[in-house]
Amino acid sequence: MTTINLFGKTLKNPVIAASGTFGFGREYQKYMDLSALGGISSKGLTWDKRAGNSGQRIFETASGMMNSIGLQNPSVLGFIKEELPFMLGLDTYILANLGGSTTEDYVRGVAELDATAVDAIELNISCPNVKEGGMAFGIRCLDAKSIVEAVRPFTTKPLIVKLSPNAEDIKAMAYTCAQAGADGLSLVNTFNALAIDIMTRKPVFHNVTAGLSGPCIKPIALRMVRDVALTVDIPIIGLGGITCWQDVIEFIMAGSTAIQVGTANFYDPVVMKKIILGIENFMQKEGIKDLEEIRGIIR
Amino acid sequence: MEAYRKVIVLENTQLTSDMYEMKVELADLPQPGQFYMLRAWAGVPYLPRPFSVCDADGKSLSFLYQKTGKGTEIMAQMRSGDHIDILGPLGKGYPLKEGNVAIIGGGVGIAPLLYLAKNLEGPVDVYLGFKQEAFFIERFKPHVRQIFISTENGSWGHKGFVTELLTDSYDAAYACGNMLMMKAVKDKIDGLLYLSLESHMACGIGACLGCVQKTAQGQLCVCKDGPVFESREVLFDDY
Repeated sequence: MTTINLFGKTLKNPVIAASGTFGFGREYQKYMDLSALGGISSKGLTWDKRAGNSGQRIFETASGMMNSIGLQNPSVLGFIKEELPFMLGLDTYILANLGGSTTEDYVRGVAELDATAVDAIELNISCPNVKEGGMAFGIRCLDAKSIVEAVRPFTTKPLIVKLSPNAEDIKAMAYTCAQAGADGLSLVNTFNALAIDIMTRKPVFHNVTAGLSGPCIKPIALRMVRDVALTVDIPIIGLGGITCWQDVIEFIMAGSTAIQVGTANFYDPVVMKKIILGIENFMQKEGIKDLEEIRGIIR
Repeated sequence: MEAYRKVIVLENTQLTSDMYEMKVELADLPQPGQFYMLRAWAGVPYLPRPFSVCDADGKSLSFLYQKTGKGTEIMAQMRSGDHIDILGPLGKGYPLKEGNVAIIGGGVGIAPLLYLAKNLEGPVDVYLGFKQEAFFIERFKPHVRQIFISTENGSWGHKGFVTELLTDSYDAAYACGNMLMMKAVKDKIDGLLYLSLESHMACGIGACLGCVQKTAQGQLCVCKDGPVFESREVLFDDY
């Protein structure tokens, strides 16, 4: 059985589509049954609608990519009206991913999302691509603490804080968020990175830096997941460069309850279907009845 | 719908110093202007690459590509019998219009135009602009009324840009090339004009939002809402 328990709900499997790589699911439905997924995290939302960044938005790197999309999204209210009904029609766990520039925007967003039927709110304090995208809150513990404490009273839903690998101290950050009222943590978002066009002698991206993702970050993400798992007792959703079922097993052994697949969805729109099948086969061959048996075995 | 399909390479022909045509076995009949994502690698490079359909006959598809980086270098080394992964057809193609039609292509931007010319009733005039080496001229001949050619160094046809030869005397026009060339075409043609845009993209299906283009309708994805747009829709602010 690949099922897992996350905040009291049963997910069919631990495989969740990562925010920003899956839209609101629509683009992928012609290729796969979305209800076969463990869950879907929405494209990152902000209180105000955002057009996103100008200039080149995608740049490929060795075993990965950089992006500077800049949280292009239809706003929290636009999402609730236009996209959420479609997502709620799927038989899968729905996370609303929320970024913000001010405490007030986070609070308003959380309050609105709390009144919907989303299963959980994933608080994005880790988008590196917009000044207002929240990463400012994800670097220093005190800033993260202020946001998590501010939004906590406005929702009874599971509140997951998505951590940035750019945090000053990932263990201290995880501990701080848990103390401030987070029900769970997802990590890691993209690494802040740089690419230069040597012919124009300028950065590739208008924003100068951009977020690095893909298989190249996996070993670091995995180390951070283990660090955090050894620090806090709340559920961890691990992500960062997962491309195959073997990666998922590693993240679970490092302490993840669930995992998210991001950039790999661009390489293969049905990669998660293959991953879920791979996990099933592995469990059967290894005689694993419940993924809890192997969760966090790497101490 | 099936996602990536593994298909066999039938031919892989070098056309100029850096231009190639790959023919694969696939019984699709896409619309002219639609594209496919191709990958013949896993790891490095990572992402698939978008290529418009250059030709299709119900048994095979061909793609025109320029060797510009690691992905296309790998493709250039492939031989008949090799396998390549393919996703598509994707995006929205060129609406097929009747009457006097102009087709304008620059460099590797010629890619979608041969298959378009074959599918138009016409008469069709084609304008092809190259840097130095011209290619594909013979392939167009059976399907068009007139061919206008330019090279930047004057080695073939008009010396300069092909847009300098273009007249605004058609019922409809179709263009594909770099954004500067398409802007020049747009400045010349007041009537109905369709542009096929290119952009950096990761997924090809409208999820990554890497390939957005500013349009009169707001920001649209080149991959899903395009790659073909009516010229009046496209805002050239960034060029």
